[in-house]
Formats: sequence, structure tokens, C-alpha cells
Amino acid sequence: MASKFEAATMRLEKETQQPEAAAPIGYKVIRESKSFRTSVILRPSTVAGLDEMAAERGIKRNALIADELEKIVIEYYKRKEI
Amino acid sequence: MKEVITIISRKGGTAKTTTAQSIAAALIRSGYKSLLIDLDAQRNLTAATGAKFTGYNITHLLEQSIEAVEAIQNTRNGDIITASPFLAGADLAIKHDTELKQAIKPLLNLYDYIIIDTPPNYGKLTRNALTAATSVIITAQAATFSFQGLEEVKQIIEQMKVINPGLKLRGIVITNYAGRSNKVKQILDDIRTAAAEMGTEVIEPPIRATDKITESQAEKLNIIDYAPRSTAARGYMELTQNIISWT
Repeated sequence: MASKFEAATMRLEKETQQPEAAAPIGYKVIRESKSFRTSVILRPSTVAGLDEMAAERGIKRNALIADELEKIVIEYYKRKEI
Repeated sequence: MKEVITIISRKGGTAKTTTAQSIAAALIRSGYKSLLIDLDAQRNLTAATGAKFTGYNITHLLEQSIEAVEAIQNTRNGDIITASPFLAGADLAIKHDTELKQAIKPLLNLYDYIIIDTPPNYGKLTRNALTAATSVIITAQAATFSFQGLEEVKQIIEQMKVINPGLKLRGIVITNYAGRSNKVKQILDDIRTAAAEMGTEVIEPPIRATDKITESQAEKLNIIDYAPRSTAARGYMELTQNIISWT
């Protein structure tokens, strides 16, 4: 059962109905190499899900994001069936 | 319990988190038991202490779904109750200004000091932190736009004294202080004057800017333990001796 804080956060995210990249509240993830720099905004609920995944795999969340961002976001959304 | 100290600022980037972590570390070095509470959904303090992002956190404590002690993580930087990304929904989830105060009651006889780090906005989390506190410290930089932020924070604190009459505004900590130019020195003097007019003071000394703080954050270690002889560490130790003299 979701906590009232999780439910409140999900409600806020849903009510704003913005795509992930335009979410008003979130974590900015920056990927940078010698030749490119990209950034994406992740919602708090996405980050919470990533933390759980990283803990399950025994690695740090930032390593998960750096290496597998697209795969993990797709996998996360599949898991939650959002 | 000697003090519950809330660290606030109307602006981001004023080293609230570094100040909270450093004061807690300096208190431990001085022989006191201290507990950090991270109320910011960004979880900077949680990350800085090297605490785990999973497990029980402040949201579980506020919901009272666990015993208070279960929320505490022991780290090499001391004890902390971590934040959660779901604090983003706090303004919807929290109903009363007294929820944090009630939640931390069981912890008051376990620690000498509780230090609360707040988000840089005036929402229900900050209101709860000010209701639970015995003392509040404002962090600010010696910068032109700091004046507007200081007056706003002072007004917020005055409003909260209606709910928490015992709340004491202890002063302003100047952070990231470069102090090389006459202009910056003048701004610091102006802030001292403004603080006096507000009925408070700048808590001396200003904390000097140093690369050591950035280095310590990368190592997930507080500046007191990482570089005890740095100007910032010495500044925070002296600041903490001021805090200890309050009681």
C-alpha cells in the first residue's frame, strides 16, 4: 500500500499532466561526454523506483542511471504499468 | 535534549545542508549526541552523509507507521533520519504544523541536539520544522539579493512564534564568504546592520569559501572530519561553540 506521501506525490504528478521532462518537481540527470551533453528531468516517483532497482541489484543509483537510463525508465514504467 | 535547531533560508545555494551537517559533526566532536533530520526532497543531506536511499525515512516517521528509532540510520557522519523523494507531496500529505514535533518526541531524550535541514521554500515541511524547533538559524551569503530573503525569513519566523512561542531566532550564518573585495566586506557589514535592525545578529565568524567543502562532499564526509584545519572547518567549530553556549 502506498504511503500518503507517495500517494500525494503521484497525485501532484498526475494533476500537472506534464511529460517527465517538463515535471515541475524532479531530479535533473546530466549525462556528459567529450562530445555531447544531455539532461533529463526525472520525477520523484521515478527516482524512488530507480533507488529500489539499484538496491535490488546491489549497485549505486547513479551507476544505474549513467549506464542504463533508457532501459531502466522503460522497465520501470512497465513494472508499474503506468 | 538541549536544542532542536532548524536551519532555514529563503534561497537555495546558501549552504544550509553543509551547515547542518557541519554543526552536527562539530557537536559530536565536542562530545554531544546529535541527530540530523533531512526534510528536503532533493536529499542532499542524505547523500552527503552517505546514508542509504532505501529503507525507512522521515515520511515513515511522519506517518507514524514505525517506531521513531527505526527511522534512524547510523553513518560515519553520525545519525540521520533521511529524506524521501515523496516529500515532494508533503504539502498535500501533511495536515498540521505539529506533525513533526509529535513524531520526534520519542527521540528527544536520546540526543543532546537535533539539527533539521529544510527545503528552500516556505511550505508545510518548513512550518513543521519551525514548530518542532527550539532555535532557528538562517543561512545567507554576503550577496546583494540576500537582504530581500532575510526580511522574508524574519517575517516567516515571527508568524511561527504564534504557534511556537519558545522559538528563538539565534542569528544568521554567512556562508561561502570570500571576503577579498571591499564590496563583499561592505555587504557583510550591511547584513550585520540589517540583522541588528531585525533584532538578531550575524553569528560569527562567517564561513569562508573553500574547495575543501566540495572535496569533502565528493567523499561523503563532513568538512570537520575531512579537513579539520581548513578555514571552513575551524569556522564551523567556532560557530558550534557559540551554539553550545546557548544552554
